Amino acid sequence: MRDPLTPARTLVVVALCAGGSALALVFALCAGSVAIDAGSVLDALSGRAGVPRETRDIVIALRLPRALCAFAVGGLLALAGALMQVVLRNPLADPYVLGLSGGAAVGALLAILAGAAAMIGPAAFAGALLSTSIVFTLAGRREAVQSTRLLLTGVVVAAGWSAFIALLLSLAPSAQVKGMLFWLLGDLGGAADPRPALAALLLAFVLAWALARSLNRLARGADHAAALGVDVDRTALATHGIAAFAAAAAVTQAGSVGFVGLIVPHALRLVLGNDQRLLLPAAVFAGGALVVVADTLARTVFAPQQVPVGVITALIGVPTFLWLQRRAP
Amino acid sequence: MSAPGHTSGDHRSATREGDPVNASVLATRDLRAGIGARAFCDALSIDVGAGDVWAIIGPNGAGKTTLLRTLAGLAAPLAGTVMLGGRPLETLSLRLRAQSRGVLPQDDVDAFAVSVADSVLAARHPHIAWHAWERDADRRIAGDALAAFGVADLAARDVRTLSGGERRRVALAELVAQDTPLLLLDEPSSHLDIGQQVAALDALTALARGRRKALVMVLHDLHLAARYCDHAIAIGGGGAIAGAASEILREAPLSALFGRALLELGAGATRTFVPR
Repeated sequence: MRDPLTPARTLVVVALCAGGSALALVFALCAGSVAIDAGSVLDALSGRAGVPRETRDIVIALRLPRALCAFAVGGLLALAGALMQVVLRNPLADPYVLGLSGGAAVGALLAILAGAAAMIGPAAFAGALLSTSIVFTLAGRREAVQSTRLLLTGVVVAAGWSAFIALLLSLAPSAQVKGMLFWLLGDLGGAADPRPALAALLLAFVLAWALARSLNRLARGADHAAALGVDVDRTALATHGIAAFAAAAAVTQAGSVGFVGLIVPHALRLVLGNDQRLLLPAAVFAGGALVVVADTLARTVFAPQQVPVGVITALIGVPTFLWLQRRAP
Repeated sequence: MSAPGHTSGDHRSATREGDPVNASVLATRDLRAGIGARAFCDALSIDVGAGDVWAIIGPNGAGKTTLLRTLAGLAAPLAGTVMLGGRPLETLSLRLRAQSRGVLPQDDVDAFAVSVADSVLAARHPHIAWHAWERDADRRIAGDALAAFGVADLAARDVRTLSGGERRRVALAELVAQDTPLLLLDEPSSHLDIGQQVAALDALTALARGRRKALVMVLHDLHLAARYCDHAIAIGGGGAIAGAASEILREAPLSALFGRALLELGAGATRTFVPR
């Protein structure tokens, strides 16, 4: 295995990941019904004179907000997944494992059914936080770390939300079902202002990164961490809180985009190791880049048809993950 | 500091209590340890000095691990106090506790891949400020600890691929790398073959002699307790007695403790007890 992590190596790897994200963003700005070459995209971004007004409008007003939303959603989901996997000490955990996406979906679908388009985001956010607090109340506060009871409570609450979602889908007028399905699969078609999601990403990342070294200890068990002086209860609770906030912010923006939170941290762990000081920033950039590319494909491959971005993240993510898993020692 | 020539059976006087210079590394006063309403020991008062080697012995389910966890501050006492370096444990910050005592758990379960080098370096956690990274000195201490248990060549391996005995020696190296005045060990010899048991306990007791570390070990092997320990806590039947190893590691009290007639064999380093 690799040598212990140093600040220099962390900086280099994170810079490479950031470069990859930048390339993904440029790709997203170039691709679409009107193809624009990378040079014109960069000219439009830098505000250089001589760029046709139409090109600038497409890049700045149409594609950039959606690409930045995609980046924020991917970063938030990958960050939330990485945190949940560590705090539950379970490599199979994802941001939705405790029923968060189900609660968000019920909120969003109720808003869609009521015809209140403006309320979809807030209703999803409220549903996500409601579901998380239900799970924690039922499981008990002291169950925050690597607890089978917490996981089981989450799985069962999620099953309850699924039944509720199925009920809403069966009762909904058929004209609304497609919109509801898109939301359930994750869709960035409605992305407008990326700033709230980007701000949420920055906040969640800074808070999580401050806990990174304690999380490294927690990944090896509560007693191990406590013996080394980590405040296990507070760290676990804070981590759950940050992860729930990040996942709720992502779901509010784009619906339940799947696989990013499970696959990105896990794949990066196979390549980079499990030091959270490197894994968390790498997960933000890699998750962001994955959703940017996936969303670009979602709106171009079947053009003029658009497909939900969640379908593409799964189609890219699953084979990549399986391949990494097979070549891992 | 106790005199270098200190012998087993030496009773530390209560006058040292509260004196930070001469304070015991670990002390308990009227300690009741247990889980819920079930107490495993009551009114236990001990003083563990620098360089002392203590055994905790007793039958299965007697509460040895619970007592060790209570001494470590990982479980709360039902009554009484635990003191580290003369100060009540609950008044110490978590970080200060981790600088004062290290804990070797009974078993290690690793959910994620981690290299042996990283796992030992992790033990330096309490010595590193929250915003800082491991320094070269930390890497050197971790490397020395691996070498002390003969597992330096495993540094690049994933801990999940090690054999039980290799994993145990890496865990011992982690504990030593934490570099605390007090080492609390839950069955340090488990998973080790007879040669490795003696090698590991030789290395640990060399730390007690050479660097004045205090050791408190849960041991199942009465031979190892007799060979290495100068003090013992016998725990069983809801009570515990503590004293010099020469008083506790004898046929009559051990036979009563384990509920089976035992016969003492050998002498000195090869002294042991076998069922009659």
